[in-house]
Amino acid sequence: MSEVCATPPTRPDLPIGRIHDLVRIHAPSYWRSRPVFDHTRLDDSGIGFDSVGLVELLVACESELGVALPVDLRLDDGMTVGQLVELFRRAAAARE
Amino acid sequence: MSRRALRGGDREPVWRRAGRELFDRFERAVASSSLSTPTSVAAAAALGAARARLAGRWPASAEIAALFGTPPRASRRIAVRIGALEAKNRLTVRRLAGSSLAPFASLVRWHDPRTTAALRPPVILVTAHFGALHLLAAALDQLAGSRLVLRWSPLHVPGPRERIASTSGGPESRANALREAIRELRDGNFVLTLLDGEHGAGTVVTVLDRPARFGSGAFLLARYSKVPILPVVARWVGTRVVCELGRPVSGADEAARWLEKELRQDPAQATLGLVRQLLFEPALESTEAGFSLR
Repeated sequence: MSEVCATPPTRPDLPIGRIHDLVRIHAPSYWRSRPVFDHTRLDDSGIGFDSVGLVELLVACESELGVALPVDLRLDDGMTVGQLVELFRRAAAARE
Repeated sequence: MSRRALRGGDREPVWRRAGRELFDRFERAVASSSLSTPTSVAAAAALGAARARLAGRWPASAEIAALFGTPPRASRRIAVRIGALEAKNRLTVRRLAGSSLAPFASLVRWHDPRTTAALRPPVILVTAHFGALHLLAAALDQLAGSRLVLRWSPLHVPGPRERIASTSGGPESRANALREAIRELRDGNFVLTLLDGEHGAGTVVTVLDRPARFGSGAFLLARYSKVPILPVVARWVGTRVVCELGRPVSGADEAARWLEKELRQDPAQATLGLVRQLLFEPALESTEAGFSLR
């Protein structure tokens, strides 16, 4: 999952950039005013999402982007914002 | 009262350590013996009670008094009974590790078999480090439906209708377990998880006028799946285990009140891990000799 290879085609209207906003919205309060980069880790080494926060973020992204992640998707430890974006790119591409 | 005072000081006298090692040896011998399960549980309980009486700690009467506000004599009695419960749980863990629940199944029953037989999934079952926690699975095997258990590490070999989702690792691994649980509930199955513990996302509640940390997972699952949360408990009654469902809870505070009621009703069902968690929150300390119930 975390291996980011060639970028698959993305639906042009898919607001992938919105994921950064959603990450900030769902991040712990101390992070909300800080910038979010693709290389920023989601866990305690970065933003500090806990498991519940991560699930809420995934659900929010799915709902906002209208893209469902595969049910059997396994997140790898140490995931970054960029890898999260990539997950949704791939899920959107797979749907088309 | 300080942590050191509750423990009776940091330095363990030589005679006490020798006694502890001797009891450890006896307990291991019972666990690996060919004694029948009820007999070995009884033997473990007797050893645990004797050990608690002689050592006067793990848990100490002072710990019990500080937690339950009980007078010295009652505190001592409860501490000795917790010593016996811990020994029964240690025996259970030793015998269950990597094995099936079968030898213990005949010891376990539901308090109200008719009500539980009528229980239909999807339901989120929550429990705590209380009583015969490790044998709850034998009772849940009697329910109509499959279940996913969220737990740090597997203990017994799961039965045909039980699956384990590990909550060890980072938040991503635990998020995977939660997503799996949401799916499981949508498929119409049971999900079991622990309320108390030091791992993962948590919320602070009050139990026995002390802060305790409950995991948020069960409440997230209820929110996304619109499925009720039912507390369930497994109590040691002599060498037998009686399991009982509580009334549905809607949030962490209500779940904390359920746990407090259970603890007040029978303080001797509190595991050492829970006692220590409540006394020394937020860290759930390992029990003696590095042995952890988790």
